[in-house]
Amino acid sequence: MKAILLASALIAATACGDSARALSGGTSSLFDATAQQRCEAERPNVTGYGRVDRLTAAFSLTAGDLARWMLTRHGPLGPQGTSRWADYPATELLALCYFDGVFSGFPRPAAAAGRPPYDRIAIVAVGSSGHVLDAAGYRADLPATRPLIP
Amino acid sequence: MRTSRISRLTRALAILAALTFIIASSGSALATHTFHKYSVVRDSGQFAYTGVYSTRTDAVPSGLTPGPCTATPFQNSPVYYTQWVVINSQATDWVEMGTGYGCEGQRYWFWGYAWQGTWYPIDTEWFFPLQQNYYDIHRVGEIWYFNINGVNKAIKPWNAVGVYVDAGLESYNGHVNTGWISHWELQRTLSESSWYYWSGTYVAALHTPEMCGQLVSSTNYRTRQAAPGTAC
Repeated sequence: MKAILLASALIAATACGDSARALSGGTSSLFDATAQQRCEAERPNVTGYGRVDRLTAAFSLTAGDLARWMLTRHGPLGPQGTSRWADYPATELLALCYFDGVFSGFPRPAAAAGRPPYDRIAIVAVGSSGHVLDAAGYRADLPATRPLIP
Repeated sequence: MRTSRISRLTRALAILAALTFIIASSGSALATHTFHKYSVVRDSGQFAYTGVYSTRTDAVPSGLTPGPCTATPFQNSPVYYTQWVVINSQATDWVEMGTGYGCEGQRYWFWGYAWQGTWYPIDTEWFFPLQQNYYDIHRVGEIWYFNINGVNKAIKPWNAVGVYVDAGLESYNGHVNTGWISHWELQRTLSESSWYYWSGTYVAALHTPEMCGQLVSSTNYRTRQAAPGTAC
C-alpha cells in the first residue's frame, strides 16, 4: 500500500514538475518575476502559433540590451547586425519569453516541409499587451537561456 | 472487507495518478496544422545564388477563417506567396520574403531568415496594396537586402550564399481557394553579380490535389490552391 501511494505521488510530481516550476519561478535563473508575469499574461496571445505546453523562461531586458544581444547572438559566422529593438527607447523594459509546445504555421522552404513542427518559440512582450515573435525553432537549436549582453 | 476497501482505494489512486498525468501533459487543447502543402518552382544548378526576384499581383484567397481574429502574423492557418534563397541543401538556413494571409481581413508582407534550423522573422508590414508588387532579396558586399517595389525594408549582414532559389505558394489552410496567381519575371543573381532571368526552372514541389501549378515559361509560374473537392 505504501509503495502504491509513493508511486502515485511520484507520477503526479513528475507530471506536474515543469508546470509547478514555471508557476513558482522555482528555477530562478530562468524566471525574472516581472517578466514571468508579463509572459504568462501574453500566453493566450501565443496559442495561435500552436499548442503551448509551458512557459520555459522569462527574462526582463531593456530594449537597448535586447538589441545589443541580437546584434551578435549568432556568433561571428552567423547572420549579423540588425535588430528592430535598436529603434526603441533604450531603457524601455521588455520581456523575452520562451514557450515550449508544438508550433506550426510558419513559412519554410518546401525542402523543409517534412520536418516536425517547431517545439519552442521566443517572443518579446511589449508594453502591457502584445508581442513580437522573435524566433521559432527546436529546443536543441534555440536554448532558453539568459541572454549574454555584450 | 478490509481487502476490498484497500483494493478500491488502490484503484482510485491509480486513476487519480493517471488523470493527473494526462492533464499535466496535455497543455493547451489547440491542435497544430495538419494541412501543409506547396506549389513551388525552383532555379538550381548554379553556384552561389545571391538574389531572387519576382513580380506578383496578389489576390486575397477566399475561404479564409472568418474574422475577427488576433492581428498577429503567422497565426490563423496562414497562406503564403513567397520566395526563398535557400542557403544549404539541408534547408536549415535561408532568407525569405513574401505575403501572408491569416483570417479574413489579415494580410501582411513579411521578411526574415533562418539559421541553424531556427526561423527569425525580421519584420512585417500590414495591409500592403493589392497591386503589382516587385519583390527582391539580394546580397551586395555580404549584406542581404530585402526590397519591395525597390524600397529597402531591411538588411541582414550574412556571409552566406544560396544553393538554389524557390518561389511559390505555401499553405497551412486546407479550405481556401486562391485563384491563379503568377510569379513572373523570375530572376536571380549569382556571386553578387547582375540580375539574370531563371533558365533552369522546374517545379520542385506540387502537392496535389489541392495545389496546382503551371510553368508557363522559365520565368513565369502560375500557382493556385483549389477549394477542397474541386479540380485545378
